[in-house]
Amino acid sequence: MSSGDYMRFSFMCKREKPSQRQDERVAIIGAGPSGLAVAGYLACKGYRITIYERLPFPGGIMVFGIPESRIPRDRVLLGCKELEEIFDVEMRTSCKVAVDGVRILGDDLAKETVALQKVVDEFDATVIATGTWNSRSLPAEGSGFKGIYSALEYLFRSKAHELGLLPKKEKIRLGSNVAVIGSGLVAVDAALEVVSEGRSVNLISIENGLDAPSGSFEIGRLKRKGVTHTERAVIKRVLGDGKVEAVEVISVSAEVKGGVVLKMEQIPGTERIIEDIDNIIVGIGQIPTPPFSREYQEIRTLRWGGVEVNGMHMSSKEGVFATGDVATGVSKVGRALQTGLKTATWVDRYLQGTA
Amino acid sequence: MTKVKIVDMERCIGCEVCEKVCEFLNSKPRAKIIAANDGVLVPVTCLHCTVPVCVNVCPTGAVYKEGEGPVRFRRNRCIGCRLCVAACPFGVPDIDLAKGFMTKCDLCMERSRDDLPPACVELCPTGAMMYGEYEEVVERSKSKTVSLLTGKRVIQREPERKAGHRGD
Repeated sequence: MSSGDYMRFSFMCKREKPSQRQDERVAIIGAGPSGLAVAGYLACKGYRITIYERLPFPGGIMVFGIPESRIPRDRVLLGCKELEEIFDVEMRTSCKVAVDGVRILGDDLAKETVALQKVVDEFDATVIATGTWNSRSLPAEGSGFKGIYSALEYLFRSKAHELGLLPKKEKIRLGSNVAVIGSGLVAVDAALEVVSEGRSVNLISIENGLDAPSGSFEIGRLKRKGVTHTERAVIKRVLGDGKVEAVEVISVSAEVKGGVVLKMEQIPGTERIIEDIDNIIVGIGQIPTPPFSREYQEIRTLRWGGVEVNGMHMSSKEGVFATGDVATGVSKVGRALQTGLKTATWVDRYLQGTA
Repeated sequence: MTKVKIVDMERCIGCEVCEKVCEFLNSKPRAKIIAANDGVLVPVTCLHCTVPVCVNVCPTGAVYKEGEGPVRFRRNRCIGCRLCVAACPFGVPDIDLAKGFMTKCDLCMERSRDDLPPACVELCPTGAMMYGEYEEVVERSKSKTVSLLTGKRVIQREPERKAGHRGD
């Protein structure tokens, strides 16, 4: 292996065991871009690191969400292997850390559960990097019908099947006409996947081709693949008998800037029905998934669900840090990784007593 | 021994890892993802030109080319005149207004002392940052073109062997 063959999370030092070792132990919950960045940085400093990952492979969204054509999974997995083999990072996969009763997409692949409190007690510092794995549901009448899935769940299940982790019967099987809601990258990736399965797609979004958060290039590419784009529209009602059969959409006027919808108003009288829809895939936003619920008193969360952190990225509980999307909100891989690196510098200072 | 970095635009997905890692190390990112108006994201960073105009226009010799390799700068000589900013066809140099001198990609000079590749190359999730000996990178770049045209992978030649000398 030479440089550039894989993501070297331990880029801060050479590919060899660090010369000085620390006695402190750090637990990282979640092996996504942010958690792995924390691990890589602190591994170079010689800390003893354990990563808890509820899925059978590390990599988080880079392996279980983003399509292989964008990020080749081997580049991520080899980087994790280096952390394990050279830097003695303990990778506890299929192991979920949570306060009782918290359910997150993909939990069914975890084989064991460890209580958050136990991890916090056992380690000198704990870093929560669990991302935003739950999805916003469709704000429309009939959103509980059968045949409606979140875009991330759909992508996750097809990736898990590809990796041999889910039997074929658990892969989401779609009908021939699919409505995909949203025009962000998660929705676009889901739409691409649906098209590659030979289904026809109707992409419904508030944004038009020019102001879509994923950019007009991505929308244009979908259109060239035969996707119909119903722009400046939202679903008002899902029609069917307990199962999706058609959708009623209504046109909206909207003000969109930088991929964010600032103002939106439904235009009365523009309701219309799109017939013959077998499935709806909803990609209109992700929700932070810390390993505890809102009722948990020990660690405070913010109104939008993210973990409250101070300037050091420490949560309201001493010694427990939070980083990545679960603390900052949805972002690109780059920002999550950077937040991870910054958090790691604070964890280092905290453990050295120089914070 | 001249190492170069070339960005494979075909592979780049605009995830901003290069920009954010650079920002982490240098406080002002020296690689930046710029969005074209159709949403295509392009990483803009120094190409370390063979004939670097920024070096030619610099009145104090702060910007210099290291042999055949990277274009680097000495901050103590920089007077912040921005001639390099104006001269660069790609708008790469940047004046750090807080500090008063120019900054640009130096292929991670400090890391290169420890024989470490640039940070953006190490962490790029897609492998779009091609870095290595000039010949090797150019070869990889050419192979990529062939793969694109034929849809097939290219057999990697051993770098030492020349055509016509195979198998002995």
